[in-house]
Amino acid sequence: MFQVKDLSMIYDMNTDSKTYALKEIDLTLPDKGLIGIIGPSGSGKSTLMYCLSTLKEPTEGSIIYNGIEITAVTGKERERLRRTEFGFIFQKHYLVPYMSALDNVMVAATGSKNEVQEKASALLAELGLSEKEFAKKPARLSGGQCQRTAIARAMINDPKVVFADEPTASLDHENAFNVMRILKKYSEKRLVMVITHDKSILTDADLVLEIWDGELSK
Amino acid sequence: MKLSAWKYVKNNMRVLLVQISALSLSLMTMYVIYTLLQTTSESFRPIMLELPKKISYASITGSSYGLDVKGYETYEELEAAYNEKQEQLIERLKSRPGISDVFYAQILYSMYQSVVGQQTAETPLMEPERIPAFLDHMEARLTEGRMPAGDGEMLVDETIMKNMGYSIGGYFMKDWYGETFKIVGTIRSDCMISVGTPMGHTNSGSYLVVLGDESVMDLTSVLIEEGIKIKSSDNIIDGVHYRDAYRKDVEDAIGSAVNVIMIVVMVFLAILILVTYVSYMRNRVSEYCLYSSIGYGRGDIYGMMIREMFIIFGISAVTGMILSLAGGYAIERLVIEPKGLIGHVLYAGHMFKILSTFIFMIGILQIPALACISRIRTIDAVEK
Repeated sequence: MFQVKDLSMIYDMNTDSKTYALKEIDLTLPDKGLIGIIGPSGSGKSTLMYCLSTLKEPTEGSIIYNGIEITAVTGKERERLRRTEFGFIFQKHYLVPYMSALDNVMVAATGSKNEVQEKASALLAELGLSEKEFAKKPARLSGGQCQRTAIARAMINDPKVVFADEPTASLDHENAFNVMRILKKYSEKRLVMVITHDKSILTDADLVLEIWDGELSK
Repeated sequence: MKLSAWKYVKNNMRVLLVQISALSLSLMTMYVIYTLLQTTSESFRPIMLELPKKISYASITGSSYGLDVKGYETYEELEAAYNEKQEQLIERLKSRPGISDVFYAQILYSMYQSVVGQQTAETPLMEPERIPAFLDHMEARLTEGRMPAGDGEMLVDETIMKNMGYSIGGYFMKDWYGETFKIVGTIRSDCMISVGTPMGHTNSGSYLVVLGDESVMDLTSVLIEEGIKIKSSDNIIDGVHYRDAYRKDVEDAIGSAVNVIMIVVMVFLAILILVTYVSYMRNRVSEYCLYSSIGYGRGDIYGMMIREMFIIFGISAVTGMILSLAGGYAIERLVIEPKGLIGHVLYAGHMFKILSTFIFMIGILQIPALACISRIRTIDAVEK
């Protein structure tokens, strides 16, 4: 699905001391499966995810996604990919505070309101939220419920790739395990990339990539 | 699905209530101030624009009649010559089309007080026998009391009676003329005329009183046509005189006051709204970054912002209009009507003008909106 060649992300390009966030990464990723990207803080794992998901433009190299060179496409095309092909779970859930859990899921949807509402409800129910909780705003949901709502939002359009950046960072052990179980299940049909510095949550990963100082070590 | 503007409005009604209240109360304030000031224009219109269509006054000096003071040995000779010239002019004017009567009379001044400012109007004094014909010409009718029969008796317009707090049996312009002119009846007309009988000599002056129609409301031109060499020392009070005074002292002055007030309110409101919107947009940066990250374009986000603005301003405009009309009605009932003034509840033109300032403010708000849009990044920028 992804073919990454000589991918580099360099900060302070115009100074003598260039900083490599990513350095000449070569990588091929399958169409489905749970991929873990692990590394310490500042190793470049988030930068790699942001480059793959079009949120950041790399300095050098190419990323081919399903035959599309995504480093060369227009901003509109990148928006389309993020809207229809990719799903995002961020470290903080970034739920819109004034919207209900259901609306927070629906806000990312591309379909018509009626079908989307049904689908969002089904997703939230599948992720363990009760119907009563659908109408609650994020401030009245627990951390785990918020993260599950964010997962539902990421999955509402059946994306081909789900990018999850530290999805369990703010969760207790039980909730972290539940989130990973959900992602593992989704990875049976789609590609799920999980970025973490906690190796213990990647026990079910199909592939674990380690990244150090912007370079893949495995 | 499109980004919904209504969701923010619906879920933040308490916060937005402050903004909506500020906008709608500002609209109401601008409208109510206009209504109060406009009352002056409306109230002075009968005296300044309608009355001179039926009656004009002229005080002409001897030199304008062509009399040379040096040519007369005594004052009596000069006075006799002046009176002769005046009588000749009266006869000539009477024979002109559009003039129904001309006579020489003392006048008094009647006062009419509005919310802002006051206006004086000439009030002729004449023999009791002349008054019925005069009222006919002025299309005025007695509504209460009786016709003047003796010296120093007045008929006063019922609007002026209410405005000045007069009552039958009371005295007309007591502060100016003392207890000299007693009010014996009220009259109703479209031009707020009052009339009375003389009581000796008053120092408000004597004038040629010309009763006519609109074709002779430019009395200066009529007099010039009659061979009078009008000079600045002559005092001609006609339609042109009042029309100019109305434009300058009422319409222009009030128009300027309304504009100044509107600009001041608008500047304060624009600053308030700008500050509110800047902080409101700052609070939502991570929300906008989220939308950008999950694939919404800047155009989608900007569209949502604009729709939100239109909803907020729309609700404010509707609320403001309702409050304005309620405020206008309250002023009509509590201030305008009891004071014998003239005003309306609805000034559609001005309401439209105020509403157009809302469009202007939406325009101003494009500055912070576009600045905010240009700062939107994807979520990675927020995570830093």
